Amino acid sequence: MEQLKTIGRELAMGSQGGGWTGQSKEFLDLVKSIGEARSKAEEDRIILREIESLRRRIAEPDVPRRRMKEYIIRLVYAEMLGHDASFGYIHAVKMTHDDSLSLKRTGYLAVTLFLSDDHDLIILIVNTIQKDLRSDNYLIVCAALTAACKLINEETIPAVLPQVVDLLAHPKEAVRKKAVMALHRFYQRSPASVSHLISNFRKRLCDNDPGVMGATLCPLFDLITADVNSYKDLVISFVSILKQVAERRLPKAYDYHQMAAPFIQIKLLKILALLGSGDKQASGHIYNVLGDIFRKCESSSNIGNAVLYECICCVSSIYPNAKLLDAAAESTSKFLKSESHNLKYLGIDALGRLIKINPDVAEEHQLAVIDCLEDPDDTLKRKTFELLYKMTKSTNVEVIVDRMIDYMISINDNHYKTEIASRCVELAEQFAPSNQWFIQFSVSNNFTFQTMNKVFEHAGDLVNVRVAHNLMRLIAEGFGEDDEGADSQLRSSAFNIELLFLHSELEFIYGNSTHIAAKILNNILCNKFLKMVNSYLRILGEPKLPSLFLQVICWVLGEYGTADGKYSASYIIGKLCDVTEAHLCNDTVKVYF
Amino acid sequence: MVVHKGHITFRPLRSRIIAAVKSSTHQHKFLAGIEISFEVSDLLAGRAIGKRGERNSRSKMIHFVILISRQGKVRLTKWYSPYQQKERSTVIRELSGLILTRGPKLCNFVEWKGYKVVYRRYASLYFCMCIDPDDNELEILEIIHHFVEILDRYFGSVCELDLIFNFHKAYYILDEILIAGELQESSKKAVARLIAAQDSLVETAKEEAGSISNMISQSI
Repeated sequence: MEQLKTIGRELAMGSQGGGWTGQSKEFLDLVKSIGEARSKAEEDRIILREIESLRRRIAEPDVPRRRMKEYIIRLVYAEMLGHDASFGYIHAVKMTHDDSLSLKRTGYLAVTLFLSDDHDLIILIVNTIQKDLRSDNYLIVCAALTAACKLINEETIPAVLPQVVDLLAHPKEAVRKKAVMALHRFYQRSPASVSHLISNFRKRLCDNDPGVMGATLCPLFDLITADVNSYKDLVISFVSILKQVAERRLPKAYDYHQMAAPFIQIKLLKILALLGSGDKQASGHIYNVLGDIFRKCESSSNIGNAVLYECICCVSSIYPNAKLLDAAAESTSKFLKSESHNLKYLGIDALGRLIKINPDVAEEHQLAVIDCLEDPDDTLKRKTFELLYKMTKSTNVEVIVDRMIDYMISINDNHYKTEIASRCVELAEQFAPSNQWFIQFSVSNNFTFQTMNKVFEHAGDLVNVRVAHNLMRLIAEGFGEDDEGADSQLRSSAFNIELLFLHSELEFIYGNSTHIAAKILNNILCNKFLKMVNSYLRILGEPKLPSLFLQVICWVLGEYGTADGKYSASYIIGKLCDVTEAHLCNDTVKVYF
Repeated sequence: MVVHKGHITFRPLRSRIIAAVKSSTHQHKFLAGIEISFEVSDLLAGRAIGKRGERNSRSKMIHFVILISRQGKVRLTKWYSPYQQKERSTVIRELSGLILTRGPKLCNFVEWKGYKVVYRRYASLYFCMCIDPDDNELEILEIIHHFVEILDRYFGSVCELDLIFNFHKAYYILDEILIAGELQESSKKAVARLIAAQDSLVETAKEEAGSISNMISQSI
């Protein structure tokens, strides 16, 4: 380690001397001037000037290789600050052809930072990668593998696949590890081209080197997520590995903050959570080791708590076990009571998972949850709302939805706003306690629906169509079926106006888009209006109707009176004429005829 | 539906609804709803909300790593998911605004556009990593710390200046810890060993080149 420090120091100090370390005084000046720039505009100017000068110099013939390396580094710097340096890409590609490790490594770094895997220049690099994968120098192989992880895409996989598979058996563990990750990446890009090689992942799980084994857990996790049943046979192996890790049988190098290989433990816990889910037999193997980890975890360090949290997640996904659930509940308690916001956040999340198994767990933590809701920390608030969403029952739905609506008004992130709006609707639909509340909510929800309308107009995809459909049903049903209720609603003029506006909005939307939800609601409203025709006709006979109401009635009758064929046009007009005679003063009413 | 006369005219939708609603008492939420709907619609009209693009929808992945100074200057960026140059600038700007303004006692996680960003401040530098929503946030926090500890060992009490002037070396180290957005190596020793091997080879190459040029310059 001491040696490492001095090497580090020398390399860092060497840069001040300039010359061979690849960072000339020019570069230092550049970085310094950027640092001292007072404004973004000034910074931009400096960089653009630099890019121009590099553009000229890099195109000169016979640039010494070391100089070129520095130019490339400076271009990386420019791109990192947000500017375009694409003229330099080809030079970076050329640099990967170089034999010297120093230059090749810089070339590979530059191309992985500059290019994405669909860039045209990739073709020029694939050959180099192929060659380098077969190099004697394991460091060059490593550099090539790292580059392959970023730059190889579906088309170029076949070109490098055979070598990468061979490298899984390379004597150097660093190479094997990178080969595993490269193979994983290929699998993600194109599962079909790698499917016949999956057994290799299983083999690497038994690798001597813990680093390689740890790296193999990544692809295995993905494979298990895709197809749990094929890997159930590995449950015992994973449990055994986890046990060894927890008992500190891995080299000390994997210790981190007094915990034994915690990152590997976490990966294993995630895998076991998948394998044990819904499977009593598989879960049975896992209980012991989980209990051990619960007991041994250091809850004083961040990483210890991270492992504990992962344990809780595992416990809540596998087949339930009373003792473990108690342990999980206890840890969750500790999280919620802690001062640290991070731990509270995890506590809320853990509570959300435990509630699915045992809803009563939430009871004893109500106060803590409410505290989090009131907390000024936005992240914590949002997390708590998610929890509330899971906790909603018919007894508390009104309160919760109220809160959610209040919160929704206050936030600016419209992505999140739409999410909350959808959630409110789902909850109301599921749990509405009474018709009355339903009506009130649906009426107030009409305005939330205005939001939805706007959302439909501008970004229909954002709102889940199923949610929207349910919302419409909700509004339609909320109108109430019994006559008395219907009458009182009809008399509520504001309510009717709302209906009208809703309808006009819909016509507008309906005309502009083919959004299914809008169409459905339009249909539902039309049906409603049809039904109302009868009631309206009846009411028309009454004296002293508010004129607003009258207008509504007239319009509805005008549009739908003859729709179902029950009443002839003349009958309706006759009725309306009677009305006009009774209400001579109002011009607007007349317009509706 | 415009009526030209009478005490009720169909003014633009918004004010009409407000007028109607103010007259009804038991539906106080209407007002709130209006505000919502128009706020949102204005926002939506102003910004194009297109599809998110093809981010990798599989979970358990780090999408990008960003190091920014307290003044919002970029020190290091590594993108493991496809982001165009313009998108990158937007991302950095948005996250700077979101993270640099957060107080010290708050969570080290923020929700952002359906993802989560875990960040931690070390002196004047913020280390940020963007992950999927159902990933283990505390673990990522410790991965950040793991990275910092390795940088510390390499540079010897690393400070922001080290990273500014040796950002390419920080990249080499990051490439040994994370690959394709996943944790590659959790042993500090293994990372240090590999970096040392690479550096010493580079050093040897430089010495050789240096001695050759010396010979050449001396012979002139």
